[in-house]
Amino acid sequence: MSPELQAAVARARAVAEVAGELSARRPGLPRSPIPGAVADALVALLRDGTYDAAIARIVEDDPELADC
Amino acid sequence: MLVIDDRTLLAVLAERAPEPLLRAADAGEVFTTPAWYYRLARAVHDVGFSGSLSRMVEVLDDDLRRQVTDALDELPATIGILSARVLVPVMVQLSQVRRLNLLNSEAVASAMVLGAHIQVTVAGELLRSACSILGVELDVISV
Repeated sequence: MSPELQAAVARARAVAEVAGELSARRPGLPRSPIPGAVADALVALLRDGTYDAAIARIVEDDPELADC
Repeated sequence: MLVIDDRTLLAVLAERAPEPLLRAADAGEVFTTPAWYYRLARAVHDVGFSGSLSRMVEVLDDDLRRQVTDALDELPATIGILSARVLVPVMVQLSQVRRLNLLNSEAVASAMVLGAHIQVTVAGELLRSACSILGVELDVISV
């Protein structure tokens, strides 16, 4: 790792700490429950390629979001 | 600490991820990145994805559909995410070392700042080589 990158990581860690971004107590809402049948369907869509097909359409429009 | 991709995040939000990962999320040890969060939100609103979800769950009326998209659009407090203020200076330095797209650059920068592993379901060659060069642990998992 270059000294510049090392220094940038150390500074970023300090900024994140001061900003409270490393804390487990974060702003935001609690997790909203997803009904069981819907949760099962979401995972099925992850596994059967439907989610990946949506990602392929998104990436075609925006290559910065591609897995590469 | 873990930095997870959008597919893993979807499984966590649906509470269908592996149990240790759900426990880590409840303990505040799981982070994602802005680009993975954005990609998940776009996928959830993709016509093909939301249409398939509606067909699979016949009881998905408008109220329930809104409840589900809200649950997936709004990142809960249990999932951490670093801000651009923290990530960008590291991403700039990373760009001097390796050409990465936004998605991978945020992931590697987040892991370096947090001292975290990256946990993904799909790892491309650029992400693998960047992690290897920079000493970031990369785990490829199934969800």
